[in-house]
Amino acid sequence: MTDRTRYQYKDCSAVLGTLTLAQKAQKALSSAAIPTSISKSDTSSLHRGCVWSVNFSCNQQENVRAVLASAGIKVKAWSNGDDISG
Amino acid sequence: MIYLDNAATTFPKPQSVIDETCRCMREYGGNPGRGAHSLSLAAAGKVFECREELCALFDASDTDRVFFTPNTTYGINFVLKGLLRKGDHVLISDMEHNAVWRPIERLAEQGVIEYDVFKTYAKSPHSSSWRICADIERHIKPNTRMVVCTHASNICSFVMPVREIGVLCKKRGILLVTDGAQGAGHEHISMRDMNISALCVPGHKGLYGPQGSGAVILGEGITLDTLVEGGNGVASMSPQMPLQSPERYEAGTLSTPAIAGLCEGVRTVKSRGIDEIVYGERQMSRRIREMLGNMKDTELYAPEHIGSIILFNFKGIPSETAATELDRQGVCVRGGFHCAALAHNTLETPSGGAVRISLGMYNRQEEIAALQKALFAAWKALT
Repeated sequence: MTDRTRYQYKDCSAVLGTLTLAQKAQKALSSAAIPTSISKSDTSSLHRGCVWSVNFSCNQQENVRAVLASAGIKVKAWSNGDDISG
Repeated sequence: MIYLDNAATTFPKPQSVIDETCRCMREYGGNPGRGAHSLSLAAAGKVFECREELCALFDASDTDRVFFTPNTTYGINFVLKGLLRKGDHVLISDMEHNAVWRPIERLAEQGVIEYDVFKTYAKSPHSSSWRICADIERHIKPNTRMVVCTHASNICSFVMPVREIGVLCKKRGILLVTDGAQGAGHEHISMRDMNISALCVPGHKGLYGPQGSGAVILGEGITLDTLVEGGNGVASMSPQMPLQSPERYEAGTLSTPAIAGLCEGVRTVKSRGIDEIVYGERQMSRRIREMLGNMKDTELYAPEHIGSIILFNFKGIPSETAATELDRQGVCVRGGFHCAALAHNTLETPSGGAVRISLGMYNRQEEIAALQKALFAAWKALT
């Protein structure tokens, strides 16, 4: 993965917790043709240290919510780049 | 040189395993799950691929039920010590490897558990799933929490009726922990069909990965206490391990090159097909049994079980002496007790143990012909 692909979708994020969970989410979203990248977020206020997230274009947020819900993947928080909501 | 010690570790490894292990060290050797830079994410991607391959191979419920260990023994220790509580009663079979017997014995010595050994009748030609399950039933107590059994013996080709034991365990609300050291890659194992609560597998045997790779696959709803705690790149400011599997169980850096190789090993096994691997091994096994059966003063153990392992002795010759002589003749086999005291007692091998021939998917019929010559030469030299 290049730096470009890693950052180009970093508009919105689903904060997931572990890296494996983020990888599972990425796979589910990829199956739904939603491009994502994985990043480590420092949301220490919420999670006592680093957590892993999937990043995607904000205009896909509804689709992302639907895909992750249907895959049974629980999201700890959603971020639109600035704000985090649990 | 003819390598017939595949039950200890398979050799040679597929070229794809060697290539991927090297490629990992050469091209994407970051630490998975630590940094979020390209090399770390690439390594993590390979680790995830391997979880997916193992999840599919063993029909587990989810990729996050797969966690990596350095070997099967470590995995079995993790599962037993992470699940058993004071006052639990455990049943193990009389064909267990020391990887099961020793941690169980240790827990018993510490007063944590009590345990009994159920019979497999592996020496008898009349062993059956019905007889084994009846013996398990006979030993079940109100506090029996777990049955631990090998999927396939490491000293002969006896295969445990895990499916039937799984049905019994489910009916009685008992956990079933399976040692897949010899079964993985040699037998079809379905976590869900067999009601397996935890399966511990090596990477370097029937899955043809590098040594230093192994995994535990947990059944749905099974959570372990941790055996080892430490860093794993998640919630680093917390003093506790995270609750989520697999990261909960993977403290410290994983052996990514070994896991990368294992991923290719699993793919090789899948692409060749377990049925085809087993068919080839059985053909060779029959031939070896036949040749040993025709040799003077040779004893075969549990010969009715046909598979990749053949156990024998030249009568009156210590097994290690025979194995050493066979090595001189260019054949690698293993003598002694194969870390399986219970199983050797069950098969009633003599005080010097026995010689084990164990086949792998890369053995060829021509090697079996050469083995015959080596066996005759060794026998002649020793008698």
